[in-house]
Amino acid sequence: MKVKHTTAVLLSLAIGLFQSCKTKEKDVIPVEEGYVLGFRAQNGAATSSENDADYLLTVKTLMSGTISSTGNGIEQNGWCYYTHTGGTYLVQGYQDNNAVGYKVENGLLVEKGRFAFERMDCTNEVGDNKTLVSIGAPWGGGSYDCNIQLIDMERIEIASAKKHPLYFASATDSAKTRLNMWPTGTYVENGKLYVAFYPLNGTSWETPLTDTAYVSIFEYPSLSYIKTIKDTRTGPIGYYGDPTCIIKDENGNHYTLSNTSVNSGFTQSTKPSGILKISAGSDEFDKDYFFNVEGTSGFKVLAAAYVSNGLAVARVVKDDPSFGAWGTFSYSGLQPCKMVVLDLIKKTVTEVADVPMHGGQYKTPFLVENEKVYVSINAGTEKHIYQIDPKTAKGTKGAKIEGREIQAFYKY
Amino acid sequence: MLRILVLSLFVYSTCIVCAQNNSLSNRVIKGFVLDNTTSEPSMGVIVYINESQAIETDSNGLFLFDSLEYGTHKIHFMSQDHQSFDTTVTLSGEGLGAHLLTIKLTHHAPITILNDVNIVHKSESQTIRETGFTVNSIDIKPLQSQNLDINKVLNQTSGVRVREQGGLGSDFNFSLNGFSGRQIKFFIDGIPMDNFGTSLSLNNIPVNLVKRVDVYKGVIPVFLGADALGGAVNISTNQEVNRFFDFAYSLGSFNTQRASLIAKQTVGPTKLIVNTRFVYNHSDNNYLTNVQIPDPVSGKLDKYQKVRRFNDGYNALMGDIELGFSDKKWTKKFMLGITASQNRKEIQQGNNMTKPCGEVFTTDKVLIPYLKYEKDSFLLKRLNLSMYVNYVNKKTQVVDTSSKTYNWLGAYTIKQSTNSGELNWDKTLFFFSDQAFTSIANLQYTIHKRYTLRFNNTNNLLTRVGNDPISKNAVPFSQPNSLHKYVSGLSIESTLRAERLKFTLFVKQFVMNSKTFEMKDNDNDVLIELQSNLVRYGKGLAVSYFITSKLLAKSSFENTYRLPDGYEMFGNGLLLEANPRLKPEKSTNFNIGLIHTTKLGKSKLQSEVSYLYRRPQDMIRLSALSVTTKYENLVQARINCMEVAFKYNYNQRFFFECNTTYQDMINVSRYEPDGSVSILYLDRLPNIPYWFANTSLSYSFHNFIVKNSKLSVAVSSHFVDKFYLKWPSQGNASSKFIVPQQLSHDASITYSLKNDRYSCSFGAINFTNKILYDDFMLQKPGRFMSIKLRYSISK
Repeated sequence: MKVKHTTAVLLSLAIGLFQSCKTKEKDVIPVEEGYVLGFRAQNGAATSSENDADYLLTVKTLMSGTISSTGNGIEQNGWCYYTHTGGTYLVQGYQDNNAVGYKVENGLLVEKGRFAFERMDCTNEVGDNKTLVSIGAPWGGGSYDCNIQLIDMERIEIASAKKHPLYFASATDSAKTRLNMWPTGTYVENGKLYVAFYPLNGTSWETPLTDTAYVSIFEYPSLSYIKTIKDTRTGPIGYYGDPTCIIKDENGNHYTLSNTSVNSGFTQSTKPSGILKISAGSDEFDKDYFFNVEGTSGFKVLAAAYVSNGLAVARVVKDDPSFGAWGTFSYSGLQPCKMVVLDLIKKTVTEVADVPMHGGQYKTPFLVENEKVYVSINAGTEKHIYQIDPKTAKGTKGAKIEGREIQAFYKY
Repeated sequence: MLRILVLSLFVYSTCIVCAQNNSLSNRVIKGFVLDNTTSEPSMGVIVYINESQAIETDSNGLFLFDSLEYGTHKIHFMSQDHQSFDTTVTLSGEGLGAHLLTIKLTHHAPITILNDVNIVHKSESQTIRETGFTVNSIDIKPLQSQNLDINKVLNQTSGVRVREQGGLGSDFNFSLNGFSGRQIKFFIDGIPMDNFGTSLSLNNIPVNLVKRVDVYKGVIPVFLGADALGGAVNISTNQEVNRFFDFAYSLGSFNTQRASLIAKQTVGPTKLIVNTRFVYNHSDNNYLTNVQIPDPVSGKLDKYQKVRRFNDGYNALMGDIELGFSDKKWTKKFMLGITASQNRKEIQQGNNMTKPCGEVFTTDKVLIPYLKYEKDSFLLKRLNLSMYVNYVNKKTQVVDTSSKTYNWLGAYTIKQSTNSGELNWDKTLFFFSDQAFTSIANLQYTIHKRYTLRFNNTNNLLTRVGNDPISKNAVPFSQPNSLHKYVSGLSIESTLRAERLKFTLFVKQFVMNSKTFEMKDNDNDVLIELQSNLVRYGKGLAVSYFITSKLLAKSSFENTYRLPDGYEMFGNGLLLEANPRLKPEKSTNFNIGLIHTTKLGKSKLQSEVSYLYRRPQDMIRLSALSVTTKYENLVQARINCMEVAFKYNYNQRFFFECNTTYQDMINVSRYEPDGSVSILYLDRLPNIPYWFANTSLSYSFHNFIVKNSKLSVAVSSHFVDKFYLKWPSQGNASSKFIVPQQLSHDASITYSLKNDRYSCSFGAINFTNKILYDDFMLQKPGRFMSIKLRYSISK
């Protein structure tokens, strides 16, 4: 009758509606040989904080097609920092304080363990294929102790930690030196841990002290403080966000990058941007070496990847005070960055042709493979991977990035 | 001398059925018996209908016959103390529905003493129900003896989903057909709750206080005067009789205690009305939670274990007193009142379970003096005025002054930065004071029997000042911020074609003026002043039509705006940044619904199906800015929503209801904010439940053991399908974060004596003790058992 009829119509309507809306789940395709990428997705114009996500994914090639997290990649809760050693990829949450280790097994990324941490602001490989050094920096003042942590990447846990200031202000230092010391880059060599840092207010982003480059040296692995070396030819090394601001050549010499840029986290600029050298085996800056990048080219050098024969590929920026203190890293349409080739021996800067102006990245990732450098270029509406040949200073457009940027590149 | 019983009888068809019931229930005769000399309700009057069925009036003098046949009904009233009285009421088949019945009423009932304010309220909502607005009306009365809050009741309504982060007093997000948060406005007796603070909210108002809840979906009538976009919820409190007293106390799991006292009295020869309401809520919320506890040295996260929450307590107190008069020559209603409330809420964690807190808490204190005034024949004979004015003084404090890192066992270590808070980068004692002034004026003018004009003006001015004695940066609101909003609406309502067709046409105007200060770009120490002034217009239409006597069709359409509110614009001074540049959001809404009612013997079945279409633009959504968040005008979405509900009752004893809602919300923003083509175009909006359903079953035994007693048993089940936290199209399906499917069951048994004067209720919420989540990783309480005792009398 009528009741039954209406009911039946409504029920079938409802069931039809639900069934038509089931989502399809795709299978994960193994990649036997390729690249592990930390992929920052578009968060969508409809974003809310919980929609931000990074995806750890694998691809076969960087130079063709489209790299996308659509149906692909291991979802991460919010933005992440990435590090790698000995075949284990560590994904460290920026929003939640968990770090997760993955390995590639049979072409698939597999979670191997996770740990909780308080702060990990600067994380790098030690070079033994199993250990990372990660420094947690204090924010908000009250303490200038950094937490230097050694992370066991086989067990995926914090193996040991030591709290220690990165710098002891001496009686002769000005009051400004009693600032927070924010770690920007590290390396381990000959039983010593070298830590570059920049002084900042710590309760605000003010940087009242910008006329000296600093590296503190600790014993490794005991982490006892040895000393801090300084150089006043340029400003502090690196910037906030764990950039690649220390590079190493084939002879074991390390080069440190001081950007002194008011668009990259510094609130003043008092020295030219340039590169200092710590020679292999030395624990002092090389007094005879200074590459005045800004003086040579007008650019501020942010981050670089060393290739060979003194050639490195770098991301640079020209300061523009109207861009604001963090303008380099803005997503809001500013594209202040350029790619250049640095010759560390001849001290020359060559602009790379065919790579557009673009926005910067924290923890700028580079991949060096077969004498070529791969970078993620976000030029506003277009995002691509570019391959840069330092010998010819030419860029080649590679895969399209269907997302915001690549946050990590690893070959496996 | 023999007192003469005068009966005031009014008939209407609001749905007075069971819980979770909605909309039109036809063929009802309901009445209200008063004593002529005292004007007080007469209890125990026997009311016969057609000499076949009889019921007694309850303590409020109320009686009700439902599911009646069409035609003329003879009604006979008999009382020991009073003269008998006879009348007839005709339920006409041609139009079916409320208004017809009201008209019959004017012919048959002596309405000369029908002067209770309440009647006006009812006829108002009745009119709305018939004018095509999509509204679910929930009669709370049968639920008043149960231990529930309004959120729990609303959650069983189709289209509504309340997502709670935890136990009593926890944050919740109310969503209605895909809209959520501040897109939906809440009212108590027609008064916006915007600036009331957290001591007065849906999850702490006990059911005793409430008579009825109306949920408007999409199009909102002009008299509510709001700039809501997705809908509105209007809570009507109990104001039915001249004198009553209601006290309830409940005790439940996790040391949850709730007490409420509501009293109304009419004093002295001037008939001064005194209304008082007190509410007390407390819970330790120390329920078990599944967590991973990191190894103190290595940080290793391994197995999940069950721990008790230890910093999640909640304590709230609210009191309200009002004095005034009704039915005087100079006023229909004049009330002067003051509401005061305060609460303290401990914060157990932020937005995920990885950082438990041990000492963070917030408090707020609110004081609201107010004035209500109603006058019929104001200036003109057919012009009625109602006004409301209030001032809100709200003080809120966030206390995060410990530099400890707690784990879930309650142990802690001292943080590296001794200036850090537990949740915040810097320790904070942030305090802000809101002062708000609201005025609402409603004018109603009857042009003609068939045409009514309504005008509403709502005026809201909010000023916020903040300070933080321990902050090291510029403090938000150290300069006062202000937001001034005017919303005006004009509607014309009409009844045509022998009462079968009704429509309402309306226009609304939105005006906003704001003065705010924002942090200079990326600089913590400089504040810049910003001003914004704008005007927007909205318009809409609502129509209802009886296709047959059993089938009602309703439809509404609107094109409207919502102005950003203080919270969105000013932020909370902590992790939510201010955004003084927010624009109003806009939406086009369309609803269509069919309601079919049928009766077989003593059984009655109502089927309802509704389709809703929404097209919001510049939707105000929360977006992430590394550590902090901020509201921004972002999404363009398309929402298709379908709701189906069935309600069955047998002889007003047995009730069964089921409903389901499916809402498909699709992102139709083609471009990302940076101008690139969005790969998320046509993806479903993440982190919003899209399919849910409820069923409920109850049975009442009348005169169980003792006369005038009632034993009710009720069970209900709730289903929410799993949904993705992040964009559904992104990532491997197997790796995605989900908010898992929920299926939970509640049960209660309530026994009342002397027509609900004494009642006792045992309730079990989530009695199967399922682990439930409404929000990603934020576990809700397990099994919650409680007992509630209630004493309620009206005289």
